[in-house]
Amino acid sequence: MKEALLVALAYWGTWMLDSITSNQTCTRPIVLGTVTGLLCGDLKTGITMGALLEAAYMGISGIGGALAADYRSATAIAVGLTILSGLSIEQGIAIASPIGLLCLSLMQVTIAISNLLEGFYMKALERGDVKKYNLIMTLHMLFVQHLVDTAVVFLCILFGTEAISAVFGNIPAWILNGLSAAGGMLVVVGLGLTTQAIWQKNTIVYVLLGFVLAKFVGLSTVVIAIIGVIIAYLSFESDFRFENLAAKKVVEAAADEEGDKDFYG
Amino acid sequence: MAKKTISQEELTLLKKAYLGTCAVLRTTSSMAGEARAYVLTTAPFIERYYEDKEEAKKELYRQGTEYFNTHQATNGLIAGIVCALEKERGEKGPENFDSGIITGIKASLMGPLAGIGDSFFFNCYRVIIAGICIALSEGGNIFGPLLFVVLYGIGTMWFRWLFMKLGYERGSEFITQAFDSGIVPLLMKAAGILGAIMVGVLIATNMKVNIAFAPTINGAAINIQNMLDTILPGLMTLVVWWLVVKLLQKGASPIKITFGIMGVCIVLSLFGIL
Repeated sequence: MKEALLVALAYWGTWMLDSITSNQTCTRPIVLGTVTGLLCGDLKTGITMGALLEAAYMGISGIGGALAADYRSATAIAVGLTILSGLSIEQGIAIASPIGLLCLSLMQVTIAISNLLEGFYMKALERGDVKKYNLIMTLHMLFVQHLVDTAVVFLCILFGTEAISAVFGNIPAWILNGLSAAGGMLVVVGLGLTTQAIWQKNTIVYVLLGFVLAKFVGLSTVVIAIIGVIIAYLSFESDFRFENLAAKKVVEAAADEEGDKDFYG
Repeated sequence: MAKKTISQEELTLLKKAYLGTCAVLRTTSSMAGEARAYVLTTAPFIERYYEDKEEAKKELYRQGTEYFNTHQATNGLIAGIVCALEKERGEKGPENFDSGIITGIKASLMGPLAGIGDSFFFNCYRVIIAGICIALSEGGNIFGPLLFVVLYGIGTMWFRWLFMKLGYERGSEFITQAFDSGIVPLLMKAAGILGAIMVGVLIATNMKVNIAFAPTINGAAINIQNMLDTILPGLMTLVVWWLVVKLLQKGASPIKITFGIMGVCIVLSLFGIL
């Protein structure tokens, strides 16, 4: 009961921080996982799982309000269950994916409730009372907006802890092994989505470059990021110069034509 | 492209308006999108210029609730431009000002700026910062998540404030010029290069594919994973990544791919391959 409340608190609290600042930072897995781990008394597992889930949900962001997976509840529930039921980290990552998909419909509930409250907002504005409008918005955020999804996180931990221990204690080893292997691989979905979003002609060359620098040259991520900035800058600069040159050519060609006309005309 | 200087009073109002932009994701709805935050963003300017004109105020607030949706960071540019126009309208009086201009600017800029915001902040800026912070978090180092909050969270909010000042000072011509000069696609391309390099790093550091299958032929165990590693360590991770990208480009949903990977892994595990 206490643990379930703490996980729900981690979920709700990070949501509030993000809502107040209009950011999507504290509910990202790397932060939410850490907070959940801290409140459940296993900070190390929280950070490690948070970082792995951050990579797994790399390409998933609320673009136009639509998500491909609810990474927030997936992170809170998976990290909570892993710590409280004593699962391995790989197993925890593997159970996060189905949770993220099942919880996707929660977003619809949140939006539907928000739509129902539109009347209160309109009434405050009809009176031109912007202070009250602000207050309604804050109260809505604090007490209504994430009520349903926080309750779901709470119930999942409350009833899931024992159930998941029982399930993982009784299923055959090959399923566990398969789930663990999938856990090590699912990062690819998020990375694939990112790749698809930034796809251009030479994307695969640059992906290979990053891969080689990290795997063979063994450079740290910070160093590779700096090299990346330099390459991106050089590419931008040469493109920019080329574009300017092309534009100049067009202008010159137009001027030449003018000149020719004058000459023959 | 006239650059305005901001007076102390304007700066105070603009800072209050910035708090309004912080409400963009506080609560949203299908009818208003992020427009509830817009009411709060323009409120400091409206309250300043229409202190005792209740009717005018109500009309302006009603206009603020028109559907609005964009990226939370690049929203700063639109918020800055709209605040500058709101000031102009306040000084000229609403009867001498075409209200359509503000609606038009919001409607025409929110789409392109959402696209730029999504591709820069989600697919480049965050990928780099997350890449660095994930590496830092290894072994449960708290420095990783903390750095993420500072660089990504506070960083994005700082960008929003810079954009807001820029929009307020330069107005909408600035953005139109940036689009016309063709510099935006070039910047997007550079951001894409950076994002791609980081994707490569993350494949190398965060993906694990281990083949356990080691058949014994004539008494000699052949370890397939070792063989693959001598060719190229992590070769299988690149292959899986490539397959997923191709599937996504063919229109497969990420949800199906996720379940597909889990299913294939369990089946392969049954046969002792993974």
